[in-house]
Amino acid sequence: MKKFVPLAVFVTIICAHLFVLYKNYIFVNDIILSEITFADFLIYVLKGMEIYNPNDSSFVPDLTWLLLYTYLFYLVSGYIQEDLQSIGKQILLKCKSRIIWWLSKTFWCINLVIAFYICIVVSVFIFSVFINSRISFICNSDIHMIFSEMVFNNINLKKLLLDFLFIPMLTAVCLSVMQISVSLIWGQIVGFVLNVVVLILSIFVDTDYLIGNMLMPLRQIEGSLSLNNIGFVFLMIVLLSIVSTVYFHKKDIY
Amino acid sequence: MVLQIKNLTKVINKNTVLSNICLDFSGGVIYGLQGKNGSGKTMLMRCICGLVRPTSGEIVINGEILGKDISFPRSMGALIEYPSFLNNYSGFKNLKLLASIQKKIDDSVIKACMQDFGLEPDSKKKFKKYSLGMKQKLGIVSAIMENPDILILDEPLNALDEAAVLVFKEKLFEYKNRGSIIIISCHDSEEMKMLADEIFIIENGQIINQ
Repeated sequence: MKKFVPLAVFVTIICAHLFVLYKNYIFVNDIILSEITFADFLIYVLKGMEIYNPNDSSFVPDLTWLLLYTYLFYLVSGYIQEDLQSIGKQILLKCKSRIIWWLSKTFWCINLVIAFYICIVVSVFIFSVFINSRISFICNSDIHMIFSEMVFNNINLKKLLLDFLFIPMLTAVCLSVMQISVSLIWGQIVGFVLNVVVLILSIFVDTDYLIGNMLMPLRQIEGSLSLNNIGFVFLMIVLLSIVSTVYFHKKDIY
Repeated sequence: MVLQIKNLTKVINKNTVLSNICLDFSGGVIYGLQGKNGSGKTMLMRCICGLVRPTSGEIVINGEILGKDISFPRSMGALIEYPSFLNNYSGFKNLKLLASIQKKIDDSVIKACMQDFGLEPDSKKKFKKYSLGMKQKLGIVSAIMENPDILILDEPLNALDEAAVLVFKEKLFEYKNRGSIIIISCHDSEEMKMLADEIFIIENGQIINQ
């Protein structure tokens, strides 16, 4: 639980940043904007960034997005090794199955990612309640056009849940499973660095096969995410789990 | 209960850490492994536990080949090197977590085992606050609490007080009389002679004397 405190603090700071910009904009320009909502804060935290255009010199990578997911992969890193040095080895001997033990680590990744997103949503919720903003799933396009340079016509609840939560969560699970698989073979530092490299490459290379792009709802928002993309991520999770399970089955544990 | 080690060799990074080990173990006997640091005692124990795969040779337990027919011995308790548990759980909570996997024993058995070794089951003291001796006791309890057929104990007497050593010896003979295979390693040759029925001397990964 303690590991989620920095995340909650970070998300709160991001929300506060948007709120200050919002209030300041209204005050300075003396105009009326839509009432900022819970959904607006959530989108601001999770949005990612637009597709990189090499001809656009004004492109600035979204550090919020990068730090958020780097922290997730930091939480993943070292888990396997720490667990095996702790009670994990005893649990492995008691459950008598390397396959079951390793698959339980895949479930651990799923649980971690879910907890990660719950922490984000709860932090945004608490902040919204604290500043008396509307607890609503209505997203205001004027706010995001001004503060995120994000243009969209309509984000309904379904799109919010799918593009901003479900798809990124699934992608994050895939990357976490990839990280523990790589950590198993080449160590926790390589696993962590590889995922950070995927994040950074995804900023500049827009392709569905670099799945870091699927962590950026802003890049999906005007298009529709095809079933192929989702299927690809599921397939990667399954393949990575199988390959790592086979490797773990033969690995020496000291 | 029969455990056979057949021509077991383990090579790590071109270093031969175990070389052509051939040993037979049967139930109702306490076996001792004696040797200097780095002689291969712990590595051999890891192989028997199934944690490490031999480079060549095999370990057969009641006719089943370890690493082929079974990944780990079916009924085993082990304490290899240092006892490791969850730091923020109490001793009892750690043991309860481990016992919940096979569901062979209930809370009363865990508590009785802990009390035998002078550990207080109702104490909320977290594992990270345990002394070295308490950690060792907890490790021994976790190895023996489910009445395993094979008991592997690496330096079990480390950091134990006199009372705990006496209890440990009693428990060891109890398991021996039940027909378990017991394999222990111990630095103290006098203690080893008192505990073990058969002693294997291991040096540079080879059994040099029995």
